[in-house]
Amino acid sequence: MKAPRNRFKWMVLAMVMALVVAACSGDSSDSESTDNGGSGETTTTAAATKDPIRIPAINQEDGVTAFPDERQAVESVLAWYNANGGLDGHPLELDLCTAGDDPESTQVCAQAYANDDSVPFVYSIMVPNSAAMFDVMANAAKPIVAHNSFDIPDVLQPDTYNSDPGLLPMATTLLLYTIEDLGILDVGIVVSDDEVGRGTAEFLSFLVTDVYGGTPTTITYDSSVADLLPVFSAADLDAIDGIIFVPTSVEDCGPAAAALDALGFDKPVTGGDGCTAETFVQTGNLEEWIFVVGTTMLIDGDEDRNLALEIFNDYNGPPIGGLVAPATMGAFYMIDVIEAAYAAAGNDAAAITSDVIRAAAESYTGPLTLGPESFACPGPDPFVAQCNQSATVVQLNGEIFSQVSDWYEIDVTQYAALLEG
Amino acid sequence: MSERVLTLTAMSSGYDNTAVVRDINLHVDRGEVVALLGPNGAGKTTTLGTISGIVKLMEGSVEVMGHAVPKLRKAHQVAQWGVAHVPEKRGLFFQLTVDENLKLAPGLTGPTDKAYDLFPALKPLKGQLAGTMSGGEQQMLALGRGLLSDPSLLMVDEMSLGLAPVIYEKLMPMVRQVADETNAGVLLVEQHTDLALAQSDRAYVLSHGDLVLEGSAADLLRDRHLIDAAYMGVEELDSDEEIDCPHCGKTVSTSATHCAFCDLALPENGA
Amino acid sequence: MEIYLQFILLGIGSGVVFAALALGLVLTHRASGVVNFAHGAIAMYVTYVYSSLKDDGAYPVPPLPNPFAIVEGILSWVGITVALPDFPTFIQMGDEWPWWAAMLGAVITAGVIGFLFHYLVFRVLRYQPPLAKVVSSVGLMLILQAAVVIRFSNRARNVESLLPNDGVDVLGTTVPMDRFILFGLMIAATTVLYLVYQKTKFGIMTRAAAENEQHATLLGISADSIAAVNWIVAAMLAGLVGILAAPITGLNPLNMTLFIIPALGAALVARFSSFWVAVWVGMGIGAGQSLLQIMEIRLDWIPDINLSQGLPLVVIVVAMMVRGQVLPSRGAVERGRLPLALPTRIRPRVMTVWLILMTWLLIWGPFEWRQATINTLIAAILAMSLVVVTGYVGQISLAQLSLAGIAAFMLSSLATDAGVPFPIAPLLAALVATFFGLIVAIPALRVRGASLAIMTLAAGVAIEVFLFKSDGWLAGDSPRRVADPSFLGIEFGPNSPFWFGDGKVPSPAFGLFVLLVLTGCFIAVIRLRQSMLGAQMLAVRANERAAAAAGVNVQGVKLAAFGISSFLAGIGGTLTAYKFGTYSMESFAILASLSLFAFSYLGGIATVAGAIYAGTLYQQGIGTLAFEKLFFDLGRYEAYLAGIFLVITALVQPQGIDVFDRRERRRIAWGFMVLWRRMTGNPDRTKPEWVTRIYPIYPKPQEAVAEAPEKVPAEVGEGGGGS
Repeated sequence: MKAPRNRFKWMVLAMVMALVVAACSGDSSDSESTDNGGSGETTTTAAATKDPIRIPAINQEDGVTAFPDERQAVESVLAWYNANGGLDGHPLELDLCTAGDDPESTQVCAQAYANDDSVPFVYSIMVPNSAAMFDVMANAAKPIVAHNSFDIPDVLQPDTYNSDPGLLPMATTLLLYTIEDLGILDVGIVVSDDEVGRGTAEFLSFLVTDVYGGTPTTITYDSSVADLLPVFSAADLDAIDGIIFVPTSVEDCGPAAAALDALGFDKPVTGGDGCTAETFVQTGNLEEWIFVVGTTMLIDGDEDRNLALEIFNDYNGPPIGGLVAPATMGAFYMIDVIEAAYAAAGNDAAAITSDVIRAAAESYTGPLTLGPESFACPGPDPFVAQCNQSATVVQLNGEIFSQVSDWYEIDVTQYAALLEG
Repeated sequence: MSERVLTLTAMSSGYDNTAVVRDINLHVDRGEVVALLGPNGAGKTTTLGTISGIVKLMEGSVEVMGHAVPKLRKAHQVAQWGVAHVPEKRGLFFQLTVDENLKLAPGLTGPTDKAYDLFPALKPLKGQLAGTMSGGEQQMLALGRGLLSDPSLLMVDEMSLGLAPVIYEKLMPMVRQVADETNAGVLLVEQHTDLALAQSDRAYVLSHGDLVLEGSAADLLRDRHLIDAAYMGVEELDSDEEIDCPHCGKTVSTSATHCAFCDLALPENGA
Repeated sequence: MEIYLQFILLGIGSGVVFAALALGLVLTHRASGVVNFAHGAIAMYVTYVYSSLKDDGAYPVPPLPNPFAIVEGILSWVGITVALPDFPTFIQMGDEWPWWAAMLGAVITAGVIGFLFHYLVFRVLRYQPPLAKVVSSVGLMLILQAAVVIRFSNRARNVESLLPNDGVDVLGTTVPMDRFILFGLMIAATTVLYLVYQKTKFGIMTRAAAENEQHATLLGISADSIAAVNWIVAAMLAGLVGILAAPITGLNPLNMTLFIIPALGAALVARFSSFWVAVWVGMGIGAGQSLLQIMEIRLDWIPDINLSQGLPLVVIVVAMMVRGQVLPSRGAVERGRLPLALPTRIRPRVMTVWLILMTWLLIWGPFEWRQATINTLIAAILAMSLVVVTGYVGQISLAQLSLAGIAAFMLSSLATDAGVPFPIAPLLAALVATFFGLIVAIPALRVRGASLAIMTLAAGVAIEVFLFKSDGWLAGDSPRRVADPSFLGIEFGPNSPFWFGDGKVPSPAFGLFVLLVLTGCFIAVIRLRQSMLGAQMLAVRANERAAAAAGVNVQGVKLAAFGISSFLAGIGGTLTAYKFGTYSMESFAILASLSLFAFSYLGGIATVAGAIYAGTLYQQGIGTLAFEKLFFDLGRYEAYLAGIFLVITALVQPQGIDVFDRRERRRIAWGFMVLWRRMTGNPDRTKPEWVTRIYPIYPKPQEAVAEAPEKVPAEVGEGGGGS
């Protein structure tokens, strides 16, 4: 027994020494960065030379569920912004705390910011484990500027300002478009099997039957199922004239589209913006799908799109599409908030406090660059975290998105009924 | 003239760093049948295992067909050198059929017909699972497989175990036949001394892990009492009753008139 | 009626995936007696390789340690900065690759992976107990998954279908052609495998070696070579499954890894021996899931609780109840040792010192360390639940965190919704978890080893699906808030005010509360180890039959172990809920259970000290924080390194980190002292007594005891070298 024991000991010690040396070398041995995912540099040109204004941010990108693209989008927007003068000469710099799949890591980031008196607010890029930070930030009375509304609690949390339209409002918009613009009353509602999905389906069904007198069919699928085909077949697709697809997890877009395509379903399909990611569009299975989006960034030829493409091109941005679009929109919102706070603080960066940020976020009204026509925070009670905004609808044709409707005002107060259920 | 197929030189081996057999010197030549005798627990199976490379060799050397026995990991090479080891429990695969078991004979390239010729009783059992056969049938299968590979050294461990004497008496002469016809060396491990010696040329006797007796089969058959004494264990003799034979040096009982080993007369009143 | 037939047919897609994975599982078990939990992960990894080659022409290089970094480091100490080459992350070869070239590259990679798994890991573990093999394959799964996350982040990748998917009208429903083609391919593969293993010499040799390795060796069969070939074939098969099925299932780091559970069920029913049985049962599970889905929709009397996801568990449990111990043994003697469950004594002075230190840290330490300590303490309780059930009784349980999640949920319902006060609410919640743990234990009584691991894994998933996701009575729409615990008017939640300290979060009040609970659990588990029940547990672990022959109530002991362990898990779950102030499903997902198991083994699965070590390494524990402070932030590499260390531990030192125990620690400390003395030019001292002293395990009886008898039992007890 001695030999293996000693071997193990020396192996562990050797590895520790190796790590010590590797770490102290500065450029540590794990510096293999991901492909085309370099950290966006905040270039300070002659235009932005004053002290940087730090933006305390949290993003989940270390685990299996990761959003590095969205953070990359934010960084490239900031780089562009700084290259064009920054905020009155101050460059805006992202202070990033990354989290993994475990909620503990999100909580650790939140606590670091909560306990730091020089931090007035937190910018939450994509944090699915938001529950782990809400208690901490609420206790510290610091506002959260975010663009992720993954779950219903996300839109109920006070002192949070979510620029993301959110799943429920998007779904409602899709429904409105399907019923009012396309004239379809026999609607298929496809949701994933979790709290949010079921809640969404319940609400939409209610709308269809009680408000419009149509016939809804709810199809719930489990993300962990190997083949989505049986689920869709179960739906008696002949009785449905159109489908509204509201996935909670963006990865479901691919298999769902493939299943519908395989079934030869040729009636209108409307889906959430998560499915507009390049990787799904390229499969060709989403041809003619209709998407609700909170930003015109995806619309071919639109000046917002051109600007975004330019920014991403010049400042190391990710592929456009999917959740990158609302993240970019949210970055512009965040910049606007800081600009307003700066002005309210008498052009003194040091005087930006939590109250100042809060006031700036609350009193903001759109339109946003790369954003909806109208945008205002906070949302209506009790959905205070869900900023009031509008959304529009685009259709995919040969990998090109074209706008096919006007802007819809998203009215979140309709969802109050859900909270009691 | 005969080629040596197996040589054990001062071999010690065992399990968990404890030697079970010590200082064994043994050899087998082509065309001869050698019996390895001894009571239960003497270390016969361990010896065979060491030759086959599945028991760790601690001291001394083992040479098989001119090769030194390999490390435990490469034990499978031994069979490939032409050693057929039929182990104590026959080494059959109960989940496989008779034919499949036969097909596993090492180095077998042709058909399995030879085994059926040797043991016609196996023919109707071709597709039967080995685990469902009787003891005698299993032993025939094991032997048949061993012979199929045309070995240079055939080692059989306790062939008689669990077999009715009728069957056993039929199978035993086969090992003589094998040695005579194929010029293979045969190492036969047995508890039943008489029948084993009847087929053998020479024999060794193990007791408690030591080699206590060796000689030609004829000699040992004639002087059965020597084997009995060996089974009892040399150390059981009281030291008063032991003397050293002045001719060959081995320890013998004072009550004997002739030395058990060299068969020369012992002095009357002990030297 | 017709619709049910239709749905049985529609289950063909997922059925093929499960069946094909089950084929590979049977292969690897035949090859080396291993239940390969990483099989689905191999499929996933190879499919990523295929996707990367096909879409980008880039071959992903697994993360490798760079020896040059050490050179760079040494040089930088003396002020020279050099940038030496590093391993590339991707090898770029052209732009896009044609599908057949990408497939070839991917399948070759699969073969290499299979070979390495055999050669580096499972060949070495051949004679080790099942725990080591389960741990290793879990570790390999974590490694593959982490490697994909590191290389590909989470950019969803879509794999285009290589097969035509025009619809075919059968039985009144439309089924895309690709499913039928896949089915046909799988039947062909099964036929080929069957013929090879029945007719060819290689196949017969494999079956022979699977039955009894020693006898096979006597016939000149190299079990190693046979196993290597089988592993390579199994891995390649997994890769092909992944590539062909990805257009149906989607490609992400998680799903294929989880498909292993229905596949395990199918392989289990096939006793890991029969290809055809595995295939038909796999197809059956796919068809059954599909059928259950339509039945839930059409038949109102069936509650909408996602029955289909519980089907694998039902299949596994039924198979085990009917067949009992299903995994065939290989005739080889198990020579390996299980981790020693060293008896410990509660040393009041040492404990007091530690408690004072911890109290100081939790009140006045920097807030990051306070939170890390809290995370460590809670994780240690969860790890202790594994110590009791796996360390002491040898029952591998992969469902601990699911049970913890039940408690967390119950706490939310009881405390927040129903207003049940502290401490009744958390205790009640833990008891509910215990109840479910005992339910899980009942089918577990008949099985052990890898079979049990499979069953608990399926149970964990079933709990997750049934209770958390569906409309079951534990899920809900309202936010799952958990109010701060308070007693007699004093609040001690993570944000509660406290009289001392820096006023930052986490509150020292919460920290002290957790410390108190941990101390209680610590003492309880040590007492358990010292008690008669503890001795009986170890007896059951060593040899169930012998224990039964000695009069131990084996079933009772196992039930007690599961019960105690579930209670501890429940306590851990309630503390986690208090920690966040809310319930978060991510904490209790099945992957978290596997992760906890991994770290517990790494820390030392059979001792309470090991549980504490495990806690330091677990998510955001003291170990993680210390590492981050001293070296660098591991980020995505944490899971990768954890997997690697886990496999190394299983291979080399099943004792885990706890090997550095008692006398080892003192010897190391003494070694440093000697080094220091020599460096400062002082002469060597004689080795003091405290370095080598053997502490008695149990308190001495009042009368004087002779010195000599202390040696032998104390040696065994201390377990210093133990060989």
